Amino acid sequence: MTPAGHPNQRRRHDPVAALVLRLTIVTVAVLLLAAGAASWLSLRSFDRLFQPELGRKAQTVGNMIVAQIDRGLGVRIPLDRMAGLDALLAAEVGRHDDIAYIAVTDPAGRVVAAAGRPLDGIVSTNSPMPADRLEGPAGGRLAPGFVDVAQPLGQALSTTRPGAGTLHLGIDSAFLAKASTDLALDLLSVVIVSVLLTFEVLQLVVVLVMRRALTLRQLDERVEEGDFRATLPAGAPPGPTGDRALEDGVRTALDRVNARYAGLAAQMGELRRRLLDAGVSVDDPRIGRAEAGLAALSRRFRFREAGAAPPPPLNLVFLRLPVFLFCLSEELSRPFLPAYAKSFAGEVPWLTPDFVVSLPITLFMLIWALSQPGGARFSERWGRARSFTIGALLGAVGLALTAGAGSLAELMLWRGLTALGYGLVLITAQGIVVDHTTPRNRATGMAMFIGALLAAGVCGPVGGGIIADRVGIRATFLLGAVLALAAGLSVGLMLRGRVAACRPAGAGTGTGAGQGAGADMRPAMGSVLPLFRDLRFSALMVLSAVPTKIASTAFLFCLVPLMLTADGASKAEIGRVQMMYFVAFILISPLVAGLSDRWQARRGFIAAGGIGTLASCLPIVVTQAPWGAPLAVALFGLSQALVGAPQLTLVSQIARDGGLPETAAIGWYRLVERLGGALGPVAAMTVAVATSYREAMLGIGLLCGASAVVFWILFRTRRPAAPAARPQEA
Amino acid sequence: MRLDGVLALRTGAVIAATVATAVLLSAALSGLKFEQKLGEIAASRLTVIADEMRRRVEYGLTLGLDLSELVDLQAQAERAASGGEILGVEVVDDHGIVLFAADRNAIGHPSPLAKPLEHAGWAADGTLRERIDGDVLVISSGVRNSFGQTVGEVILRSSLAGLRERVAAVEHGLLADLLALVGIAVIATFAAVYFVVQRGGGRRGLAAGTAPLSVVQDRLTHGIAEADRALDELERELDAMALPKAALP
Repeated sequence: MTPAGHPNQRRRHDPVAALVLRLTIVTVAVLLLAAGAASWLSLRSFDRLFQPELGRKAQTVGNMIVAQIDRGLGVRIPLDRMAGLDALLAAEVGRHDDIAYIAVTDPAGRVVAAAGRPLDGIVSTNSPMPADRLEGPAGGRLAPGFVDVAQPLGQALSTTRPGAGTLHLGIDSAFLAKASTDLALDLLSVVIVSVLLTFEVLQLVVVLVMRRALTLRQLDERVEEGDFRATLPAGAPPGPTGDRALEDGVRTALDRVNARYAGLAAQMGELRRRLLDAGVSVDDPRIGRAEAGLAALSRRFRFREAGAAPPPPLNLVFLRLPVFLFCLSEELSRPFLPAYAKSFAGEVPWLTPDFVVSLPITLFMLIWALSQPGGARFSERWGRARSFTIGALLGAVGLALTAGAGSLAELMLWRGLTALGYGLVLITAQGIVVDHTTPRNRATGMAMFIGALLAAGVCGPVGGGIIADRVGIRATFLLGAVLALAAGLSVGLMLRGRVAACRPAGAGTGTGAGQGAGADMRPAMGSVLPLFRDLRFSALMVLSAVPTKIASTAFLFCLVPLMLTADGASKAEIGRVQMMYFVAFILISPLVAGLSDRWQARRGFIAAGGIGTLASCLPIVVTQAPWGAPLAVALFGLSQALVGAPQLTLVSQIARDGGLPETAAIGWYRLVERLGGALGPVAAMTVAVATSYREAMLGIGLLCGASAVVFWILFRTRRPAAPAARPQEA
Repeated sequence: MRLDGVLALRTGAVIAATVATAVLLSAALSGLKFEQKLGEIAASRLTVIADEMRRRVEYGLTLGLDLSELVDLQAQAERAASGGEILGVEVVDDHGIVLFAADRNAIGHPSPLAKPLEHAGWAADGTLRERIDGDVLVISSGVRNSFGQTVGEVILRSSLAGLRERVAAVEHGLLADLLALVGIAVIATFAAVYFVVQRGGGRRGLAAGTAPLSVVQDRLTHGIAEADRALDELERELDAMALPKAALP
């Protein structure tokens, strides 16, 4: 994903991103051609097997029908007076979807009875078929594009003269191609997943190859953003510039400015000590002024921690692949987790199976939501790389044990463990982004992080569905465990030295660099009352954030998989349907974010998103056609995309209006909506127990739609003096 | 130039590996799907035979005869089993005892294939059940009397070995074609990547996106100077506050 919303004109023409984009286009082209050619080769090879097998089947069915007609002929009933012949043929065509038509012709070649779409209207003509056509090749004998299997009637009867008529059975000559829609969709999914995987790996490879050439450029960007912590790697041969004097000069200048800051911080400490020693009160305005000056400097610039080694600039692309792999490990189980949970329902007869399904999903969401503040503190205390690795390890162990769960209690326990790891990894990843960005470029860093999440959302369900269909649910969980482990190890290998050198201030001396980076990710307790006293914030949470998240977890994680499973869909099909949500979200989200910024119309977008959620239920409620569920889920993804960015911006605007810290408001907003997410599965299953999956969807859709209308009526905010930009979320 | 080559080689390797994996995965998926579909067609053909046999048995039952009294079933079972790849046809009673069978030695003995519906491995569709044991496809169709009670089963066994041999032969030929396709795709990928890296995104392209060295140096100097000014300002404030000891209260 190309980082969006970049303020800097120069980086809009990021050459690395442009190269990755061009290479991705090459990948798409080659993949489409190669996968298309592979499918054609397979089709051509297997088609040779299908036609004889279909012919044998038609022959067998023909034998049964011939035996029945011969009984009639045996008692001298002429073919054109044989009652019920049309009904018999229609019943047989309906029973075998690989037989396109069945017809009976008399000795003159007239069709006396027929069934099947290719022969629609052929009986009414009542004119005989040309003899050369009936005696010609089997292909296209009665209908073009169909192979005709002909069997003579009356041959077994000694009383009937030979040539009493002929039974014709038609096989579609393109049967295999037409019966392969499902396969074509599977292959398309493979191509999409391959392209996204390539995109993820390519970014890393290009940056790794170009890292020396890009070091000075990155350093330049960071200094321009006011971040002076990084430096050029020492001791290396002249890299990007080939000019050792220049590189030494840059290092010296950066060391000097950091040393000056450290000196001033020390001077400030000394001044404070001297004033306090002299009996001056802590509240003395001079101390306040000096501390405020230092704090203002820390907000504007980022300097190295006292005693910390200067880190080389970290490219956040290094973080993207591990985050992608880790999220993929969890997303793989989306299509079948509800069905897996349902398989344990027999142990708890006092709960309905549907309610049992909701329990592990709710527990997961709840632990994820509640682990965020503690996780942030943990990662500050223990270091980002270590926390990420521990989180990934917890996730891997949780997934591996989930694969072997023998009871509902075990399943719940292991899902809880996985949620703990998931929460720790995600909050740590956000912490790494915060540590290595300034407020001015944080949105770009977060876009990188969120891009990995969304890409995993596209690849996970569809890949997991296909794999689970082939090798089983437990093996897919184990594969997820391996991916989570790989994510943890890759962070350990790639980030360890760099991230350790850039730990947030909370873990260190508390001066300067990174100050508040960790705190950014925790909802501050002090801001909770003023925030919720603001009716606009409460309305936004109760009428939009919570219903939106309830719908998100209820639809995507519970109702859609269960409904499709009940309709007989395979896991791969469920995965494809779930993928549509992320595809729609990825396509629409940047557009919505841009338009809501341009029009400053957050309230309208949020209301439209809620009503869109209700509208997205319609395709599922009104039709059971195969396109109903994918369309509904795509519309749902679109509706959710309408809501996301405007909600975040409104939270930020409300916090600014109330003079509250934006990061704290965003922290509370995320916590509240995740708790809403935990409520979703239970709410959905409670309604589904009393009604049906479809009605439960409609019910939750109505909740979102009605909330959106009430929100539209109640929510009023003055237009900001300056256009409100999207906040840099932590 | 060396950098461009390394870049093209590594990115080309990533894309080529993905393309090769995707091609082989697509072919494997197609193969599995086609094999499954082929099996379904073969099974449905045998189902037609088993179902027809069941209908005849049930027709006999409607005449008021007991299952064991339908003696013409023996000939029918032998006739049905004469079809290619069909290993045997049995009619068993509700206790699983073989009443009629193409293999006459089995008559009077319990059939190992007559199992309750819930027996693992059976895929059920109404009265029809299907199971694959290695290379043998077993299809069972429940026989009901006029009152709707299940009084026995028609069991048909067919060999899948022939079908699998034919599939294996096709897959063998397909593998050679696919390897050739992968080879062509890999070469095409490297050529396309090398072209893209050379023409647009190589060192030249990256350099084009990066400002000239003097500009980078100017930006660094400017950024550091800005920080210096802010530090100077704070330093002045702190100096102003750091009054001589005598001046302190």
